[in-house]
Amino acid sequence: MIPRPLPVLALAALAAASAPAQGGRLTEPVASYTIAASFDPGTHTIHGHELVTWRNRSLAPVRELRLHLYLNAFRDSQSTFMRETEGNAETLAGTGGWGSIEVGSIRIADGGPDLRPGMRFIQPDDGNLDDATLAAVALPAPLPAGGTIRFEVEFTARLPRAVKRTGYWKDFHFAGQWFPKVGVLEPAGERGRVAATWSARQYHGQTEFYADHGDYDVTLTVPADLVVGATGRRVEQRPLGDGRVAHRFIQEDVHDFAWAADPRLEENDRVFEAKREVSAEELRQVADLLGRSPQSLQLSDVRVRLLTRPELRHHQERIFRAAFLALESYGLWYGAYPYEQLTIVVPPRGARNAVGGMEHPTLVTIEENPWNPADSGDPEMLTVHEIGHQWWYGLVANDEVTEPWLDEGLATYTTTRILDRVYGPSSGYDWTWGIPLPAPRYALRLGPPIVELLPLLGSVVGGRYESPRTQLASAWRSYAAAPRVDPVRTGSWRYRNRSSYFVSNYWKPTLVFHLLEREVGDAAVLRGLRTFQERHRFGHPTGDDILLALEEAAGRELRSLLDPLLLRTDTLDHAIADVRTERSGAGSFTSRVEVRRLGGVAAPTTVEAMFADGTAQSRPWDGSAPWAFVEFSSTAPLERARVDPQGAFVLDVAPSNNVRVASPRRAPAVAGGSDYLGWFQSLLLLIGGVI
Amino acid sequence: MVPEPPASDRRRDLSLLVPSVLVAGLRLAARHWTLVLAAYVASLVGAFVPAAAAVRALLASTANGFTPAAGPRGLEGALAQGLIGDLHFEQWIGLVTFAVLWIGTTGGALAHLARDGRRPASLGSLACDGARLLPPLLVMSALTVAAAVALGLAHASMEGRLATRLELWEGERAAAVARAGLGVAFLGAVAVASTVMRYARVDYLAGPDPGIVRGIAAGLRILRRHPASVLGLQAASWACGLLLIAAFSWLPPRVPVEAGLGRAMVVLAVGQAAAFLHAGLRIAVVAAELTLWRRLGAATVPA
Repeated sequence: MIPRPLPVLALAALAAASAPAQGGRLTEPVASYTIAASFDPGTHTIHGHELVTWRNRSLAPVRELRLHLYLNAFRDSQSTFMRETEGNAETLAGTGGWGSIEVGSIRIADGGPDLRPGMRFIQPDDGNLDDATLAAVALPAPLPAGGTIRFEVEFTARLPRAVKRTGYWKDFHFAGQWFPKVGVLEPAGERGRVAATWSARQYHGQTEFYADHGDYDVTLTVPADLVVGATGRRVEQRPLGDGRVAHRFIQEDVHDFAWAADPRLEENDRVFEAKREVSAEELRQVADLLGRSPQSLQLSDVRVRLLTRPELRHHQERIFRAAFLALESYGLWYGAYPYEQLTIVVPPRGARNAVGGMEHPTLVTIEENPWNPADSGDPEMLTVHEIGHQWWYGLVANDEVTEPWLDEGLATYTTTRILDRVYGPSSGYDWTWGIPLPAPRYALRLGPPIVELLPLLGSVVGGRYESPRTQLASAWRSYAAAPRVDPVRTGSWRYRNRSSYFVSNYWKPTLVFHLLEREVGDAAVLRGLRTFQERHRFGHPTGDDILLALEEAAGRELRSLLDPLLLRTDTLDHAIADVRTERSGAGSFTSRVEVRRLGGVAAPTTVEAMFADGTAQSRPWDGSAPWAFVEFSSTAPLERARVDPQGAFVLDVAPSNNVRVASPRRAPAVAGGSDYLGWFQSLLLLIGGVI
Repeated sequence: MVPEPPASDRRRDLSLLVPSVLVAGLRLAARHWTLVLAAYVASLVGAFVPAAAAVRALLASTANGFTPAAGPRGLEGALAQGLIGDLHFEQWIGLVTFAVLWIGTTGGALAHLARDGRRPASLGSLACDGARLLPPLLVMSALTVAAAVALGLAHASMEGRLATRLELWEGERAAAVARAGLGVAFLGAVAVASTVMRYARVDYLAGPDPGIVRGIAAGLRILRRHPASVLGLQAASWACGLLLIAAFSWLPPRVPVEAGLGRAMVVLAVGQAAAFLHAGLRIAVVAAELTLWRRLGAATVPA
């Protein structure tokens, strides 16, 4: 039986019954949705009606709307998403799991004409005429500046086999970007616009999302055996008597609505009690850091709802702990989480990579493997990161399509702060045949892995395992492996590849914020980010806005340092090229240190010289010239020189050349080489047992 | 036709045959220290090129105050790994060099032990035997490697198909166990192929009528008749090797010697002692295989 959608009148009644958020509205809504949807898990199909209330924020009349129809990215192999990714079309073709969204009608509320015939697909990004993820809908009459329009859309959505951010795997369904959704009309003056302009994009291989805040009132009718988790708070769960249940969720002041349904999900609720979780001492410390009163930083209680399969029951404690930690840290630093509930969904293994690790308003998904070792840092890292997006993407709704570095960079930066502060370094693992093996310090990589036997031996032999690594060190390592591919401030579909997308949006911005901490102090950075958050909550800022807030907090100009790092692929690499020390008289020595700037980023720093008698001297170097000689006078010969002695330049792509010693000691190299020799011999002799 | 072994021989598979031949092998290895020395030198020469490249990279960085324990600014050794983590070409050279030396050395050792297990081998005669026997032994080892590669490809293909099949499985644990089980089965298959070829080598060098095909047939025969013994010895060989490696990996970080030349010497000494003992174990296993082959009566010429 195909479920029937609720009639429009009932839908309107639901809209009228919408209750305001606890404590009232936080922002004036721009795009609000009242949706009634019936879901048939057998066909993965959603029949829905939505009543959209959209406000023209601009000072110009609007003649047409833009609608995102992102499920059409999974319609066939010719969509822009499929062309930009590898293997997804084959997966969907092989499983018959294509997805789509069809718009049946678009009517102005209260009896207007059907606008569906005038709807046309547009492709402003790449001109791919086969892409149907973005539509333009002509209005019968211009909507005046500041005016509001209410229109109803009838649609049928079919979820794809989960390959990216939405879809199903067996009985598990995750619905993201599942309803027709209005794009963002940016008025003149916002994000550098000189005139009101639609910022609505096609669905790309790497892009995430961008939308206006509003109120959501969604009633999902699903079979009674399904456990449902969704954006917002559930205000009603009503059996319909035909084996189906209507779940009604309401949430104000968010910009999207996602939900998960699965008969095997287990539900576990806990309350983040702010008074119990945040000590007075912590409150005072952060208040001091931010220069505010502790009272102004008070957090609210939040109900955290965790939905997992039974296989992951043993990891629930870890997930809850990380979630509470995130609510506390982000809340204290950037402002309290303003919603009553947070839902965490852990998809089962077949959907883990596709929909796990994703942010949605008041709902996040994480990836978790039941075999993850306790010291692996998972699922803590993803839990903290995705919850961080509630602030960076959720509350401050930057355009994730054109400036993904803002939310990904800030969420990752804060995650590194939290995890390194609370959990310390985590261990790396190589997964072989689904088994987590401790990552070895030395890798045996002989080209394309014909068989996994040799990497396996490489992991087993010697037990000389890689030492635990901090999140910051992991970020540096990922960045330093490919630092010059794309500038950070690049549209998310323009990166060379997925790896470059991650380096530019996650790792490099994270290092940039850590660099700023060392340049201007962590208090100034946190104050700047807090200001940025408060200034642009429920808004759409740009990278320039964050730089402005940081400069204000630091009380100095930062662009000359940050622009090369964000707008170009310039690297930061200071080096000591040479050290010389000579006796200049009785009991006095003159030392000359040659310091070089090998990267494109010129940053002032310090050159430190350490002498044989244990004394040290420092000299400033502005870092502008490609090279410079720095001289020191001392009573003992120079032992070593170091540029950037405080390690402020966390983006330095080659920190090994920051130090130069006058008389190199061979012993460490011999020890390192001996270790490697022993490891390789062990490996060879083990292979000798086979051939 | 090969006569079936008497029932008492089959029962011996369940006895202490494996430990006893391993002990016998260890005794032989202890008596023939030149063979152990040669095996150790083979590992040293094999590891020379990649290790030299690693030392060169590390020495070049000593001017930058390199210490292997931690990179600058506490980047947890990431620097150290970066310095010597990209020696793919050198690793290939080391592996091929070692394979050739090792095959000649162990073949020569086996030939000597088969000829006269009491008289110590001279390095000269070992070298002559190794060089003389190298071509057929290389062929046999190449067959082992080819079998391992074929099994690897089969494993990769089966893993792909299993992944498709696993799409229908709900259970996390069941899926993980299935995948790991397939990997273990792959390891087992490699061990079986390796065992057959190792006894083919024994038959080739110690049997009355050398021939590669005949040797492989003999290897298959001994595996079919005495699977527990021959695979048990193989498993014991791997287990002892891994145990040895684990023990010697555990040791260096716990040696109470400060950084500097002293520590470098300790690391070198411990690593080389481990390699020497491991080489001894490998020679002992070769001797044990010969002993087992003889005890099981596999040397009997088929009618």
